[in-house]
Amino acid sequence: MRKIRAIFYEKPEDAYYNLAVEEAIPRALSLGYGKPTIRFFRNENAVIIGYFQYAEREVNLREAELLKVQVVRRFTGGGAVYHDLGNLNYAISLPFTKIIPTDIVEYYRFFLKPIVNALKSLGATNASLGGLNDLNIETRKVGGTAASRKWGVAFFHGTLLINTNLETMARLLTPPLEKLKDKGATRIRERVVNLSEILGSIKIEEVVDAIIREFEKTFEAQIEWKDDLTEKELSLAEKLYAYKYTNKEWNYRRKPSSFFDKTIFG
Amino acid sequence: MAYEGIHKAKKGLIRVRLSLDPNKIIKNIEISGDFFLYPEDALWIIEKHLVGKKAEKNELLAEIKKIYLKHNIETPFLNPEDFVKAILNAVRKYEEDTCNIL
Repeated sequence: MRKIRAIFYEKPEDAYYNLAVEEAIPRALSLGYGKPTIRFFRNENAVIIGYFQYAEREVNLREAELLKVQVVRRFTGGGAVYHDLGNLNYAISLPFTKIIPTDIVEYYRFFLKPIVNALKSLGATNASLGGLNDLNIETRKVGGTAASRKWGVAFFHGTLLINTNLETMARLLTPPLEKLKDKGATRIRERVVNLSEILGSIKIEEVVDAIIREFEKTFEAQIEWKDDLTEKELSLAEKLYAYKYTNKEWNYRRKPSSFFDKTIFG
Repeated sequence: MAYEGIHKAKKGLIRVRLSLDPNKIIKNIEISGDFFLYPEDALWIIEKHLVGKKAEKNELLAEIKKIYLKHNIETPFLNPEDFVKAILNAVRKYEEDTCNIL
């Protein structure tokens, strides 16, 4: 049976670092010194924008400054999300194997299904897949996901709203009306829901355990908890942090990854 | 002067910002949004390829389709037509503006 490392590795006060680690794990795997990994983490107060987005168009930057929110761009597509400690992030990096679908829509479903099952096992029986990449409870979104096949690694990550401050989220994100209307909502608040609203109080550990149980089944793997990343992964994360994830060219000017690669990877 | 166009596709919102010369040739173009495009970095190839092209429906569609084929681009629930619509929405703003001047 295949082994997958699980790690709860975070620096909630530094979203730039958390996102640098998010890239370091699949990159290390692709460079031959990483490990198949499921990582969990949280950010205390951050907006994470998609690879193809401009912060100035998706985020109320004046509010962000006022609320001391870190605005960080990720390497996967999709939309802007707000992270606080009530939001759980998970990320999977695996080598490609036969069990991973090649069709992109099926690829999303492959990774989303265990999350839906985890939510159901926790009691959110109305959890379902929405569109390509959303996790819904009835008509409202409880999590978003994004996938990548860059660097020859099967990568998938997502957010899960457990008890995020949705008012703060609504103050920070500025989706155009076209987007909300399409989802039958006129305000962000009508479009999203916290898991705690459905299940009452729920601990983050319970959610993590439920996800792990489902991933073991889906990936036909044995998942082993580790406390830390390897030295090499950490040193790669430091580089990504210094040259990319704290860089305005990355976070605000939508430069492609290739713009930073030479400095970081030589 | 840059003009902006928005188009909501089945999956994803496309935002285009572009500038045109008097013959409606694209001088600069940025395509952003919350869509998914694989391989990701082909978005910048599309942008580069559109510079110097006429901002006209059929030509844009043909050029974008060409890049899709060449780079095996996949955009789940979103088509080259959606990019063209977003671009044309920006072009319309440009036209409204130039009409006002004339």
